[in-house]
Amino acid sequence: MMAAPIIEARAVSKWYPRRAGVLRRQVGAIRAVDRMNVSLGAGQTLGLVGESGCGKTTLAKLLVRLLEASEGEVFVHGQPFASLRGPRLLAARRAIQFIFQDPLNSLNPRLTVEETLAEPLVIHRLARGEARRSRIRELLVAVQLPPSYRSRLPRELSGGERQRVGIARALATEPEALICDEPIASLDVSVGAQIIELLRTLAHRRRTALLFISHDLGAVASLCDRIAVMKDGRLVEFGPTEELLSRPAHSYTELLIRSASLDLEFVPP
Amino acid sequence: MALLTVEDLSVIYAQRSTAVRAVDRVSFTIEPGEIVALVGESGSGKTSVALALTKLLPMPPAAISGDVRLSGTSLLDATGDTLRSIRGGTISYVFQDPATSLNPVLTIGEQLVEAIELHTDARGREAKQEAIRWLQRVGIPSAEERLGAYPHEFSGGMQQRACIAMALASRPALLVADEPTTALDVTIQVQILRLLRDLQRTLSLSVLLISHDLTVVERIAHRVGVMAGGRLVELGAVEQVLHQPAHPHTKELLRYRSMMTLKREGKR
Repeated sequence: MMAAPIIEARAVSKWYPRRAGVLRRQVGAIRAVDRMNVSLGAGQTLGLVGESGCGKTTLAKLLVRLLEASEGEVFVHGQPFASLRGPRLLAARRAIQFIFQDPLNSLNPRLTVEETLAEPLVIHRLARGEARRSRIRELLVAVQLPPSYRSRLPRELSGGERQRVGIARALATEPEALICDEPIASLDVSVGAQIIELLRTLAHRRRTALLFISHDLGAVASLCDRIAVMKDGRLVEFGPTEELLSRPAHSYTELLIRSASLDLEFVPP
Repeated sequence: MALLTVEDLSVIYAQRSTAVRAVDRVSFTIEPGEIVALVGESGSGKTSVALALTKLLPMPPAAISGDVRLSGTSLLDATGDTLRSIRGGTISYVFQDPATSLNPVLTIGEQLVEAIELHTDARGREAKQEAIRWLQRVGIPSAEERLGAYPHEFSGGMQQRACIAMALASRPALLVADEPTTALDVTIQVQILRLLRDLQRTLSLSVLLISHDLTVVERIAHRVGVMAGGRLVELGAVEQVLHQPAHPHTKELLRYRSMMTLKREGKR
């Protein structure tokens, strides 16, 4: 039998009540994520692409249990994530880490880089004393930041450097999977390209599985082996990157591809 | 004769103890009916150039020097009513985020009519008819009904179309489009770029396009200037700059682009 994927969503939905009238009665539901299936196995790189409002961030939050699913279930190593408690929940959280879009808002402005990186080590009881300090040095090396950055505050860092700190913090627990939600959307192209390079290196050297969520098909294609296309909360198409790009089965995928290359002559049917 | 001549334009922002030279002796021209793009990363000074043309920068801390001429008339010497008629009139702007460019408490029609009455001779019914024509031109369906809509009732793409209508309704000599597609979804980006290209052709608009995206520049601009650290490091025809870049910074931007673009089919 094959090993269970690190993380797997089975028919997961998230809906929000739609209210109307003076009494704010519920008149229906907005399905932000609609029966999505997605799985991430060891060492895999999966891209999740779609336009704003398609539900990709909601799905990411469901996968790491920052949101609870309205229906369906998320499994971590075959165990229902929602049922995990105590040490097993902690272990699941250690195995799956999250990288946010905006590195400034996801870092505590009052903590130095060292304090930020120490937090996961403390919470998960991974290293103390000198071992903790040397682990922090290793993490800085892994994301290609100079050791002197230990004492800096987020505001003393550039956008790309902050995102590197965000990645280092995620790596602190030696996760099996990284869920990256638009990690380069608020960065300059050159900085974004460097972050992609860094993620690629991590995926290759450490065999860290990546779920890379982006509206940018070019960035997704440059990093991921497989791509899932989302629209209106649903999975539209899924396949190996080259196949999906060269022979898209769904007209929406075709539209995204043509749009990504800014093909002004393409008029959707 | 060039429509716009920018010579040795500098913008310096005075901070507590130091001065930051955001734009450093930048010179370029725009011919009538031409799209000239300024491309560069954030902080390279491209938006400061765009805003300095009509002194749309808070002064102080900004200090603008150099010479900017539109059809021979100095823009940096303009003050008072002259400056007000240039801003949004002779030179109009389309910005990155349509949601913050539009006034949320006025209808699209009220804002469009305001621009028309402020900068053209049309008044009342005539101005309203003109507003409808502009909404139609930018591809907003059932334009007459949509005049009464508020900005929040428009999608992002529709909002940007309305902004383009407002910018063009004053019949500007120069349109400045500052990252006009950056805040939009890719499928909408293509529509807005196509609209800008088509309007530019039919109205032979002169455009200063500000963008961080070399592909946007490649699709619609005629000439491109590459900015880095406040300086214009390279300037030339789009095909030349993108295919035979001379400056190392341009080469680097192109290298990053090639890492991130879809390698699916050859260039057309």
